[in-house]
Amino acid sequence: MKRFAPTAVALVAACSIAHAQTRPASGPAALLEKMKPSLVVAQFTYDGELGRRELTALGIVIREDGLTIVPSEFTPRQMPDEQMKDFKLIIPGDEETEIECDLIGRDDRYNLSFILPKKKQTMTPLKFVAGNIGVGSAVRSVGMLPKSAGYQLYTYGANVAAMLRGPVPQVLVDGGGLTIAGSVVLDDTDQPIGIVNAQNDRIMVIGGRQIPLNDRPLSLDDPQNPNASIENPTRVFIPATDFMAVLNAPPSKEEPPRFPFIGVVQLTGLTKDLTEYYNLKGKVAVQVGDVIPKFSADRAGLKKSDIIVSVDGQPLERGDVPEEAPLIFTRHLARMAIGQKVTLGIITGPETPPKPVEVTLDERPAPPSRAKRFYAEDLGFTARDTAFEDTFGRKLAADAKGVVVAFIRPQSAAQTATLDNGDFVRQINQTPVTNVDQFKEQYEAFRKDKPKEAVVLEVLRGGNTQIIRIEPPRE
Amino acid sequence: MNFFRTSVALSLVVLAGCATDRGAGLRGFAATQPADPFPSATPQRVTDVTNRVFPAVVRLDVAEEVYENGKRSLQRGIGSGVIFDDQGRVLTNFHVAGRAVEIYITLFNKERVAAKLVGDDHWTDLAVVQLDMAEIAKKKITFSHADLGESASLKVGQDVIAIGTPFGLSRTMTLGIVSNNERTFYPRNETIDEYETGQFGNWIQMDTPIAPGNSGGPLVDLNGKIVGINTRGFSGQALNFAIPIDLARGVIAEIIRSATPDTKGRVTRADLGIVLKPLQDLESYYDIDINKGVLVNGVDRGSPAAVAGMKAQDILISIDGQPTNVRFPEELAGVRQRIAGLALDKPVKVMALRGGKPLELSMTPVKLESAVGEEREAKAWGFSVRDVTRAYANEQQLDDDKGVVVTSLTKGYAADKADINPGDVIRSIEGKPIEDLEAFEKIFKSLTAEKKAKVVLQVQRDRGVRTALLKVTY
Repeated sequence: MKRFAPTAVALVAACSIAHAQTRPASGPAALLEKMKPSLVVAQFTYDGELGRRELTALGIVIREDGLTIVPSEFTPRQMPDEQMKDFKLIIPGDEETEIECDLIGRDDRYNLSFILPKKKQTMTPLKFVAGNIGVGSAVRSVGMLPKSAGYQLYTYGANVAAMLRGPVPQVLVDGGGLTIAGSVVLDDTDQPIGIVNAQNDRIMVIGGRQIPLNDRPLSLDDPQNPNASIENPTRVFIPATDFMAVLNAPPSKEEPPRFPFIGVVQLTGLTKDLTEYYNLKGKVAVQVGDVIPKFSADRAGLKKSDIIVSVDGQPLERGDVPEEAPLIFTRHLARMAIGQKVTLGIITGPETPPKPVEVTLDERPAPPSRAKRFYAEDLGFTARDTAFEDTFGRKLAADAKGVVVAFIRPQSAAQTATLDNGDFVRQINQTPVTNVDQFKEQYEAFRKDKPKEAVVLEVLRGGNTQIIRIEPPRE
Repeated sequence: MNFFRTSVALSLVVLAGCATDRGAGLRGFAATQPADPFPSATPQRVTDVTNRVFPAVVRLDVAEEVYENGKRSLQRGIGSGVIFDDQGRVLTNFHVAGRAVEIYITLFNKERVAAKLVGDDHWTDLAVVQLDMAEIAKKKITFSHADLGESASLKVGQDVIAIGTPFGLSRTMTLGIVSNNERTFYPRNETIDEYETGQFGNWIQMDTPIAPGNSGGPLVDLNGKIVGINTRGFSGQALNFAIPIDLARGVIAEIIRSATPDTKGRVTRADLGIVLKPLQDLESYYDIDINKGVLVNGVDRGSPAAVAGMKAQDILISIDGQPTNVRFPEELAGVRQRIAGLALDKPVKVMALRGGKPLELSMTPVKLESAVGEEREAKAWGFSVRDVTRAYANEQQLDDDKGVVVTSLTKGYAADKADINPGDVIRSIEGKPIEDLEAFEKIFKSLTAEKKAKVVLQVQRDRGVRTALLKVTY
C-alpha cells in the first residue's frame, strides 16, 4: 500500500470559522477545518465469491440525521445488492467510532448512492447551492486522503475552464485539477456547488468521446483506482444544479429509488444531414431503434425507426454532438415520475408532420444486481435469477424461465467444463429451471443424494443450446 | 498443460517402436519384395523419396482477393502445392489459393507458368489449381506428378516427409514422424480467417518441421506417396498438422466434377442443422448403452432438424438406418461426413431417443452454408458488404437472412461519415428492401449510374434500426 506522508499535503491547523454562507472565502486551512464535520468515511464490506474486502469512499453528510451521499461508483451497478454488507460511517480522527448504516438506495440518474445510519445521529450537514459560476470562476475542491494518510482532508484550487453540455452537465477546470472523485467543490465564497466526477464512461462523456469503463469500484484505499488518484487528479465536476432535486427529496428506507422507463432502446441522435433529410433543419431529434413489447412506448403505438422531435411540446435538449442527444433524452425522462404522462412529438418520415403520442411512464425493470444469487461453491459458479435485460438481450420471451451464470471461479470445475459467464441455464439434470430458489433446491438435493456425480446443464449461449457436464472435484 | 505432457509420453513410446522398424527397413526403396507398409527413414530411402517427389512440388505465387477498408484489393502471397496428375492439376490449401484471382506456379525446373483456380473448399482447406497447359505446351516444359497414397493406414510413429517452399524458399524437405493420426481440436471450432474449417475430418499431427509457405505442400510416406497436405502448425513447437489425403481425394473429385469453364468447382454438402456432442461420460446419465448414438447438443433455428421437432439432449441413433455413434470427439467428423453426404431435398429417416423413449423423425436435408457469404465492394459509397447467409443470421440471432452485412469501410467516404459500422445489416436502400447481395448490387449499380448524391439506407445494428444518409461524391 502506498503511503502518503502527512507532510506531503500542507495541513495547517487553524482555528474554526463559523459556517457563514455569505462570508467570502476563508483560507485553505480554515476551509478544511470547516468541512471536517460534514465529510466522513463511508465503508462497506464486499462479501462475495471473490472473498471479502472493505471498500471506502468519501461521504458527504447532507442531513442532520447522518444521511450521507457517495458517488454511485462506490457501489457499482454490477455489484449485487446482497454482496454489499456492513455499511458504516467513520469519522476521520475518531476511527474507533463506527456508525452502522444501511444502503438506502442507488440512484444512477444522479450518480449518487445514499447511506443512512441505523440509529439517528446529530451531524453537521453540507447544504449544496446552485452556485453562480462561469468560465474563469475560481473553485476549490476538498477531498480525503486514504487511511494510510489518516483520512486527512486536502484541498486543491482551480479555475473553471469550460461549461460542458451533455447527458450530465459538467464543468471542466484548469490548473492542478480537483481532489478525488466524490469530493466537494466550493465556489469562491466557500459554498458547496458540486461534486467531483468519477471517470466512468456512463457519465464521463465529453464531446461524444467516452472514457473507457472503469469497473473497479471507487475506493479511497485502492491506489490503483484512477478515481481515487491523488497524483493524477480529475478535472471535471458535476454542478449541484444537476442533483439538487434528489437532495431535496432523497430516497428513504420506506421509499427506495424507483425509476421510470419508456421502453425504447438503441436510440440514435440524428446527424445534421439526417435532420435536413427529415426537414428538421437545426433541430435535435432521436430515432427509435427498437420498441420493447408491452412497455409504455409499445402500448402508445411507437414503432421502431420513429423519430422523436419533442417532449411535452418542448424541443429536445442539445448536446455537444448528436450522439449525446439520446443520452440527454433518456436522462430527462428518467428524472420524471413513474405513471407520469409524457407527450412525445413523433415523425415517421420526411413528409409527415409531427404527431403527438402520449406515453405513460412505466417502472424500469430491476437490474441484475438486485437478482437473488446462489453460489455452487464445489463446482465454482454462481447462478442468479434472470433480470429483464437477460431475456431481452437474448431475444427470449420476457417470462422465459431459467437462471443466468453470473460468476465462474478461475480453474474451477465449471470453467474446465466450459460453462461461461452469461450462459442462460434452462435445465439442470433434465429438470426445467424456473428460478434460482428452485435451481438451488434441485442442485442441493442432487448433491446430497449423489455428492460425486456430475451435474448436467442445458444452457443457451448466443442463441444456441449447449449441454455442459460439470464433474465435481473428487476430494 | 496436459496437451504437452501427453504428446511427450506418446512420442517416447512410439520412438522406441520405431527403432526396431529402422533396422528392418534397410532393404531400400527399389526393393522388389512386397512393399514395406512402414518403411523407415534410412538415408537412402529419404533421398530416393525426395528425388521422386521433389519434381512434383511447386511454389504458388498468388494474388488473393481481399476486402478491406471498404474496397476490393489484391494481396500477394506464396504457398506450396503438389502436381497430382498428368493433366497438370495442383493440390494446395484453400488458405493459399482459395480466393486467388491470379496464380503463377514455379515448377521444379524453375519455369514459371500461369495457373487458374479450378475450385476450392474451405471446410477442408483444400483447393485445386490448373496449370496453363497451353503455355506448358508452347514453352515445351515438362513436369512430373506425385501419386496420391492413402492415409487411413498411417501409424503413429511412422516416418513422414514434408516438402514445400517455406517462406518461399524453393523446395525444402523436412523429416519427422506421425505424432497422432486423428487429431481433433474439439471443442474449438477452427477457422481460416472467418471461414469454417476442419469439421469433416481429423488432422494428421506430425513433428515434421514446417513453416509459413509450406502450406499446401505434400506430406509423403517413405514409399513416396502423398498421405497428406501440410496445413498448419505451432511454429517451433514440433506440433504441425496435415489434411489426410483420404479426405482430400473425395474433395478433389467433387471440385473437378463440378467445375465449369466459368464457375469454380465446389463441394456440395447437406445439412440437417444438428450440433453434435460426443457422449463420453454421459451414457449413464442418459441411461443408454455405451457407444450408441450421439448427443444432440443443439439444433439450429429454422433448420430441417428444428422443423422436424428434434431437440437438444435427444440422442441421435441413426440416419437412414446407418448408426451415428460418437463416443469420442475423434468420431464426430465421420458422422458429420455422413450427414454432409445425404442427398439434398430427399427426406431421411432419423431415429433418436428422448428421455429413453425411441423417436422417429423425418427431415429433409438442405445445402450446407457457410456463415461467410459472398463479398462485394460498393466503392463509391465507401464500404464492402457480404451476403447474409442463413448460418450468419443464426449466428448473429438476426430475425431472418435478408439483407447484406457491412464488412469494412473506407475512411472519409460517405458510409463512414454517415456513421455506418462494420456489422450493420443493410435492410433497405431508398425504401426498397434488400433481400440479398444480388438485389444490393442491382440497386447499387443503378444509383451509381445515375450519380445519386443522397442515398437513404435503413440499417439494423444489434436489435435496433437506424436511418443513414449517404452523401456521395462521384
